[in-house]
Amino acid sequence: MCKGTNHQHYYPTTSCELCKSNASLYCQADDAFLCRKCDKYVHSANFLARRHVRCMLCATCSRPTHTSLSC
Amino acid sequence: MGYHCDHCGEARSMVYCRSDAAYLCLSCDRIVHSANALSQRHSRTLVCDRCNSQPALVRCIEEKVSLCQNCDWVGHNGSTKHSKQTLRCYSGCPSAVELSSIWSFMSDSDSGFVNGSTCEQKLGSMSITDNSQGHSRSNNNTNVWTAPSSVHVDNNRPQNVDQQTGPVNSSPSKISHSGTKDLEPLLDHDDDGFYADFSMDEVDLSIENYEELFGVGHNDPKQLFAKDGIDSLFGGAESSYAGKESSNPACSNAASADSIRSCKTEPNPCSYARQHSNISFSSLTGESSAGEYHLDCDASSMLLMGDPPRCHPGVGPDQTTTPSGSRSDAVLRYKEKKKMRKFEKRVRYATRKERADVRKRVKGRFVKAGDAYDYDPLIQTRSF
Repeated sequence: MCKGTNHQHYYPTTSCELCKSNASLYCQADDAFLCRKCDKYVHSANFLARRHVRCMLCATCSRPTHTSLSC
Repeated sequence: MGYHCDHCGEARSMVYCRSDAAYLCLSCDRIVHSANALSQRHSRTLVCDRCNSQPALVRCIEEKVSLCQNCDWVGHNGSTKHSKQTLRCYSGCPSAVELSSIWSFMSDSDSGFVNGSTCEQKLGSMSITDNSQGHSRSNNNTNVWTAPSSVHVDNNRPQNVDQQTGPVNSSPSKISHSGTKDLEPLLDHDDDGFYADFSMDEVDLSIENYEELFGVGHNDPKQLFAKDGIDSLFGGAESSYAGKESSNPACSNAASADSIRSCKTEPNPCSYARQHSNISFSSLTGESSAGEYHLDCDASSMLLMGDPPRCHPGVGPDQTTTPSGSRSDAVLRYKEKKKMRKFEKRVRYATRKERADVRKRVKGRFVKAGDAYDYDPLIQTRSF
């Protein structure tokens, strides 16, 4: 787990699957990386989607953290 | 979870979505998974016919049921050698035609009236239009259903139309027929959005109609709900009645307890307690079940008092006129109850016993879990 201080290496930032901007969330049920806007759009569609647990991605290394999205 | 669809809660669940971990009926499956691109990627499978609580993995062709792993083990454990077919999952937003092509084993081999040729044409035309419109969707679909896993698919293709009483799981094939009929006028539309909207709505309608006709999903739950409604109404009335009943014995217990205590001490307090209990009884005259209750309570209280000649004539208009008559009733009741006495250790509520057994105790007394109890409460605490 990186500590966010390692600025020397450039980690590849994952891009959102829908809009191709920088992804900040990962949905395990959908198996998809999403940016915040797309996540809001996708997971507010129906009650099943709202049940999905999304985790935040690390800003530096873009790996899923243990922090989950609090709506 | 399980039998009913998670979305509408009414129809029987037909498919299970792994990503959403949800059981859905066919119409809700279409609604939910056509919302956006991510949900269209979810893979869905059929639900087990036996237990309705797990996704089905195999289909037993002899028994014509789709089974989950557990039910398959239970049903086929070593003894029978039924031919089984692995069920495949689908994703995207398949139309009824496409669904029936995956699960073509659903339709019967011998159907009543079959428009074989017309149906094939329609199927052919549908596939063509699918490919021309909605290219992304058709890509998904064709990727998923490339090679069928058994030979049955080709044989049963022309017999997809099945209006007769097939097995319960022939809903997709039924949907396909009505789906093709409904979608036929839409072949002219070149608009992708229109096609999606129309197909969804009309297929949904057809699905719902079919289910009502067949009486599988809708009718039984509706009946159940009706029954529940009636029962709940009835139960409500009963419970309100029972509530009144329960309040009465409680009062009687309190009254009799009062009277017992008073008996042990002196006759004067006895009469006071009796008046007290009589007051409580008279307050309950408004209750519906008052008469019978009055008789019992009065009799028991008087019996415990032990001096019947002093009974209040104003209590309980329904009791027997002569005090001796009521006394003899009371004596009989006492004798009956005496036979039923049990002085052994008796647990009234098993659940309370379970709770009590696990509670923390210090010197045999219940204590609060967090506090420190390392002193004897009887001994006066010494101050230092």
